[in-house]
Formats: sequence, structure tokens, C-alpha cells
Amino acid sequence: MTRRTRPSDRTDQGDRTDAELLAAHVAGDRTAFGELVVRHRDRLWAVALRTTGNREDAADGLQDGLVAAYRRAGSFRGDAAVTTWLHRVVVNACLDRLRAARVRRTEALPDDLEEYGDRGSRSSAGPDAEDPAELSVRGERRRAVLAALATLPPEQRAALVLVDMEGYSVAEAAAVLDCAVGTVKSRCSRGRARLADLLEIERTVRPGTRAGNPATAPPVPGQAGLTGSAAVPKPHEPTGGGAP
Amino acid sequence: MTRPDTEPRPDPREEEVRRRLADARHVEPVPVDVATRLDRVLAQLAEGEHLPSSVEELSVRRRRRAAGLLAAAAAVTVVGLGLGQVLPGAGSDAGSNADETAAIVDREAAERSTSVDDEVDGDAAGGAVAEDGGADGSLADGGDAPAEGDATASAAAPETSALNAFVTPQGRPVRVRSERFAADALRARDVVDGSRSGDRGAETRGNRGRGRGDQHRAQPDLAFFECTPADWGAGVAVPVLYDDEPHVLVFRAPAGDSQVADLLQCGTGEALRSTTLPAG
Repeated sequence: MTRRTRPSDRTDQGDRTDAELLAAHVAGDRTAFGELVVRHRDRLWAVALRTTGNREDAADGLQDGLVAAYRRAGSFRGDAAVTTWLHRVVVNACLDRLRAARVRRTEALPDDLEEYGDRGSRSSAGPDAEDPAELSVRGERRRAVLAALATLPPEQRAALVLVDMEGYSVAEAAAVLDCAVGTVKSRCSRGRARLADLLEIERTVRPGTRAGNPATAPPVPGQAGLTGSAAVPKPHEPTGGGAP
Repeated sequence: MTRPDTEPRPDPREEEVRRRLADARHVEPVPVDVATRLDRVLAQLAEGEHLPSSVEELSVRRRRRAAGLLAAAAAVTVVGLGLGQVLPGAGSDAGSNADETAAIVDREAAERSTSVDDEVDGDAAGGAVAEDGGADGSLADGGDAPAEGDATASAAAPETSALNAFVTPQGRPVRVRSERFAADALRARDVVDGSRSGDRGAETRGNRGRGRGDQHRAQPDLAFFECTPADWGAGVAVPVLYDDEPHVLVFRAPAGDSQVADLLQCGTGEALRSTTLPAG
């Protein structure tokens, strides 16, 4: 398993660590927080987008969370990594919006669904993945996954986004969501079971085959034989470090 | 990485779900417009400008408005407004509508609103009210708090119009279920009409067989109805609990044999669902 860059590590984007940037911000450095945000905003955006399921709320949730983080920075005690804390604030802001407008969340599909209709993700796109038929299959599969994900309760969705999409460990996700490890495990388990039903993934999967795919489905280049958890594709490394 | 022998073999279905979720991860950078907006907001913060949209402030404002709303609900429970007389501008200029219709000061609701702290069925709104000191909440940011129990004064307060003069049958929101949206919308309309005709039992018809305690839970007191005002547009705005979440159901003016009912989101007035009912 690939280990993420620790958030306290210095990055090639700047000389100061996340913690140093946050401390500088609290001390009155006007540029420090912006630098911190630039370092992590892509990943925060991905989490916000997948948690809310739509672009508008993701943008609002991200902004709300970052504004709150800007103002609460002085209360950060360093118990967790800065990036974990940032994720926590942003995820909470997104969940707040989800709870406030649950109706729209269950009816709307993720805004970027259409993007997947005609292309694959960057993470796996390569020369072999440019076959239009393959792109179509992958796009349709993502569309189904995101639509199903949007039907889950916000807390389950957030746990799955962090653990299964963003690659956080259960402990890291628990720190972000400010709940017990067992709670995250439970949410993930229930969420996956629900998604398996929604996606009509077969209950019996032969070892060595790609689970849930029809026998006639074409193999996905670069992913053949992925059956175990260790084979679950890991997301891209964060640009500025992950959770501890 | 090898899996320890003692670890149970993962469920293949779960593993497949995990694989598909990972494959659906969003890998695009933050969009330019969102990044620009964030930069602008952070620059404003750095300059010390006031930003009203933070999570904390939104929460505080919501609580204040909830407190204001319950005060207004206590002050102005508009009944006697038939849907056959849908008035244009029940939205932003609803204050004048309140003058044209029979606005009744619901003393019972006023008493409820002033004893919020005693309620045991407190939800987030109730808790927030207590946290904010109940009637200390203002109807609008910076507005003066209505005096406790001074329902008449509250009714005459200009902020009342900003609340768009809900039609609140018996001072309680009506329950609407997503799976029975049209039927429940129709029932909500009947409730309003029932209030107009003095049929006080109209609302409880939908809760037949419930005990008193259950009925109280089924039709929560409006004091616990948390809904940030917005422009509901023309029509009769009825506070509802749509799948247990506060929303506003607006009955538009009948057109021929039909009448449109829009479900609007609190705070934004955004239309979430709509249904066409036979004209009442």
C-alpha cells in the first residue's frame, strides 16, 4: 500500500509545513492561510463534490468550511494533522448543507455525471483506455456508482468518500468525521452493502474474476485481476499530504 | 501488501463496491470559477471584511430566524384564507395580504412559543431557541426582538411581512411525504381550507388512530419549525415537514381546473418539487 505524504512534511510547493502555515496565519500572516488552501483545495474539492453530489453545494460547502477554518484557526490544537482538521471542517460544512436540504440531495445526480459519458477518469486513462466502447462502459459504471452513492445517508456517503474514494484509512476517516473507528467501519459496511444491492453486484463472485461484471463484459485495461482489497485502485496522491 | 491469515477474507461484493467507488473518484482540480471565488473570499477575510456566509454565521442566523419565526408564528397565525382566494403576492408583499385577510392572533401559539424551554420534544430548532434565549432572536439580522408575549406588537412589526405570512393551520406544519407528495399536498390544502371553514378536525383526519402523544409528535408545534424566510412567490405559503424536514408548500393561483403546488426550500425559495392538483 502506498503511503501518503504526511501532512506535516514539507512539500515542494513551499518551505513551510501545514502546521507552520496555520500558525503563521494565527500570528497574522495574511498569505499563510491562502497558501495552505492552495496546497489542499483540489483534494478538499473532490471530497466536497463527492460528499454533496452536486457542484453548487460542493462549492458552497468548501467555501463555508474554509471560511470557518480561517476563523477557527486559533482553536486548532494540533491533536490531528492540519489537513485532517481542514477535511473535518469542510466535510462538516457539506454535511450541514446536506442535512438542511436533504430533498434536493436525493433527487439530484452528481453534476459531473455527464462528464463520464464519453471519457474515462484521468487516473486510469491511458493508451489502452481510449477505446470508445471501453470509455462508454466505464462512464456508465461511474454514472451508476455516483447515482447510487447519492442515495445514501450523508454520513454513510461521507465515510465511503473518505475511505473508498479518497483512500483514507478508517482511523483517518474517523478523525475527519470526528467519530469512533467502529462507527466509520459500520457506516462503510452498511453503505457498501447498500451500494452492492443498488448496483446489482452478484452475490457469488468467482475467485480471480472481476466481481460483479457480466461474463461477457470486456476486461478493463490495467485492472485485470483486481479482487482483493490490496488491489483496490488507490487514488492519486494528494498534492500536499494526507491525513496522519 | 499481504493480508494476515487471521483476517477474514473480504466480501467479494464489498470489494467490488470499493473498486468501483475508487474508480469513480473525482480527480479533476478545483474548477477555475470555484478557485477564483475562494481566492476572493479569502482575500476579503484577509482584509477583515465581513462575510456573512460562514458555517458558524449561517447557523447563528438560522437559529435567530427560527426564533424569530416562532415569535411571528405565535403572533400571526393566518387562517381563514381560502385557497379559492389565492392572493397574488403571498410572497414578498404578504404583509398587505395579512391585512386583507383575517389575521388571527393565536394566543395559544403565543403561549407555546414563550414556553419553548419547557418542551421535551426539542429538536435542533428548539435547542437553538433555548441557546439563543428564545424570544431574543430577531426576525432579521439586526432587528429588534419581539417582547415576550407581546403578540399584538409582534403582529404589527414590519418584520412579519418578511416571513411571508405563512398560512399555518392550527399553528402547526403539515406533514408531507415524498412518496405521497401529491396526496399529501392535497391534504395540506384541505387542512388550510378546513381552517377557513372552521373545520378544526380537518388536520387531524390524516392522523386517525393516533394517541394524543403521537398526534403531538405527528404534527409538531410550529415553535419547532425552523425555516429561514425566502421569497416564496405568489400564492398561499404553507409550512410543511417534507420527510421531516422544514419546507414550504406554496399553492399557486388556480388555473382552470388545476392548481399547482410547489415545494420550496427554506432559505432559498428554490423549487424542489411540483405537482398539479385539481382546483379546489
